[in-house]
Amino acid sequence: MSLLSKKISELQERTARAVQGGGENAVAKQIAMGKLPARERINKLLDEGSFYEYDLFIEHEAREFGMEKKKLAGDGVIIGTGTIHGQPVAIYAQDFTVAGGSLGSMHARKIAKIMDYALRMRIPLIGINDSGGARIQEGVNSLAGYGEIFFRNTMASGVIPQISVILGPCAGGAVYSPALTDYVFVVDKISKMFITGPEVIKSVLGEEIDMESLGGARVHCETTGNAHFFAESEEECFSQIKELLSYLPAHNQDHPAPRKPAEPNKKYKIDKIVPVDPTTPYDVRDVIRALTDESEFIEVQEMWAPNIVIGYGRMQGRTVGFVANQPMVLAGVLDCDSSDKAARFIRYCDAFEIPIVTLEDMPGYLPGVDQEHAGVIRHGAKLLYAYSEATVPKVTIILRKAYGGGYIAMNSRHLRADFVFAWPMAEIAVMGPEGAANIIFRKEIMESENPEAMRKQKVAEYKEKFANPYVAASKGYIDSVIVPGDTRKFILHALDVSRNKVVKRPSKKHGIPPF
Amino acid sequence: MTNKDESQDKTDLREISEVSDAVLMSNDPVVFDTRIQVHENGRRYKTTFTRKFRERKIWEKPDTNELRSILPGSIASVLVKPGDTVKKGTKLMIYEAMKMKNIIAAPFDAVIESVEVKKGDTLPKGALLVRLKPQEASGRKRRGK
Repeated sequence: MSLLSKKISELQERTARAVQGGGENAVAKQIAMGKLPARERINKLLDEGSFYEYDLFIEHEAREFGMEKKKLAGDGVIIGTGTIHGQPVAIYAQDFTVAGGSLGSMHARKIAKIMDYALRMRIPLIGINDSGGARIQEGVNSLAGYGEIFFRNTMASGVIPQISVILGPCAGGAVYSPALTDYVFVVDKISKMFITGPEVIKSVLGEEIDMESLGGARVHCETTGNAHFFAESEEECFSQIKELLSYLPAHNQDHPAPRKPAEPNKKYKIDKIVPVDPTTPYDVRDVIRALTDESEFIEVQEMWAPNIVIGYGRMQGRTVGFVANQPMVLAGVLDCDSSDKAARFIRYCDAFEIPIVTLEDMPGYLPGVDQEHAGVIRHGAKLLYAYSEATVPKVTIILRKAYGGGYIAMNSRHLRADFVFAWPMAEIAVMGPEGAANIIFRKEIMESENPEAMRKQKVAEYKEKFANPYVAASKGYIDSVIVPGDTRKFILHALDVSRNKVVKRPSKKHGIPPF
Repeated sequence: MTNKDESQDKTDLREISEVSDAVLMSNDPVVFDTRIQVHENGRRYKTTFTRKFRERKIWEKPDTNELRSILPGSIASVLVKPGDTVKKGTKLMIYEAMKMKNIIAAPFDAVIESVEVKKGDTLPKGALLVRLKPQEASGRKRRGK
């Protein structure tokens, strides 16, 4: 045996040992929990054979509690680069089979290293989380590790897309890395996220709750809004990630790879989808599908605050971000959660130069004590802030209802929409006809011999006069009243025209959005 | 290697605001009017409650067989009666709220156990509308739309 082949076989032996992770038993346990081993996850997510691993031979630094005698393969995390649809990405995956995927200082340093690569090379970062938390034996060093990761998440925010995939527990401080990233993917029954677990909650507050109801995938998709994509299986989750990435640029000065332009599917007929009667609900996602190439639309946060719909589609091959009121849910009202949801999405689109199309059909902000006390003023303001701040091309279509504060908030001309178009059945007014007539004609109604008849008459008068798009059109607040069937044509032209849009803003360190 | 639950319990408890080391008095948290004490390994912590905390709603497992109003509004029409068998997505009633005739649909295949409202009723948010009895055969997998 030559010296070289001896050296090579030593490398192969070392590699074979390291890639075993926590060993056969631990891997079998991982599979029994319904989870894929970490390396398999990476291979399934990335293009076949494209993964290059770094820091395989890292050793941990713990010297207390007998840890010095333990070998931990790769210190419980796999890092590397590869491609998805041929586009480079950086990735790390915590390996639960190695010390429960616990985060020690070298583990954290590996993650920090791949994050630095991703930011320097301006490529998307994907983090697969599956960890029991901080490695207690490493004490404050493991806390320091988390801090290094959070700082990098923040620095990379708005520069490269950051995706978190929760494929196991992610508890305590560890949850803040996903929370700082752009998109969080969860899988039913596998993902668990919480700051304090059921045990602590029980012992401190006496409240009893199981782990799934506290921080399972469904909870984070429906109730907390922490997660953006829900999947039934890891495979489904990986295909969601690939699809999302196809809409995003690699970094904030890049453009998403354009596709061949295509027409929407003929089955989505825009004038058949939206009922003329403004009190009849419909699914606004069908309107979006009637506008996008091949009627494709990837919805973000589908299950949280579904009274507003956000997501990506393509128009003439280019990525467009959609924000749309959903009349089918909660009458499409704006409230704390829907404002929060849309505001963050708008800022995302703005950061990555993705034009925003807004479809407006909403009765206003949701009234109620719980909304007021939940801070609808503060949350609602986020929406105004995000739209005002965004400098990407912004196009608004008013389909039916545009009342009150909601009219202003939904990317109105006044917040610097580039183009505002309204359908002929649009109702743009300070408030709904019933409420407005009751206030304006209060005296006439009260003094009338038949107040109910008078009220009806005044409501009808108000409707006739103000519940239309022409008052706003007469002031130039909307650019054109358009036939619904022409909507795609008008949006495409507006986006074409705004391609070289230039906006000058006062220089500042950063604004103070109502976080 | 790590004992997730135990180790995190300790950290989290300390974050509640440590006041003094004291003798462990019992295993249950002692809840006072405005204060809470919690102990861990013979240590005791005190903290002051905010009003918001005191008045918070204790979490209860929601009964998914009850459909409740999602907005303050009124019943425009009731389309089912007790005993009816409905499929997931069947329209149960039209609920008028926020200038919209909202459709209340069955979230899963079920039999209508009771209808708690009638046409014309004006309701606050959270009022009980319909009680359902799930039909097990079809499975109850939901994806929350």
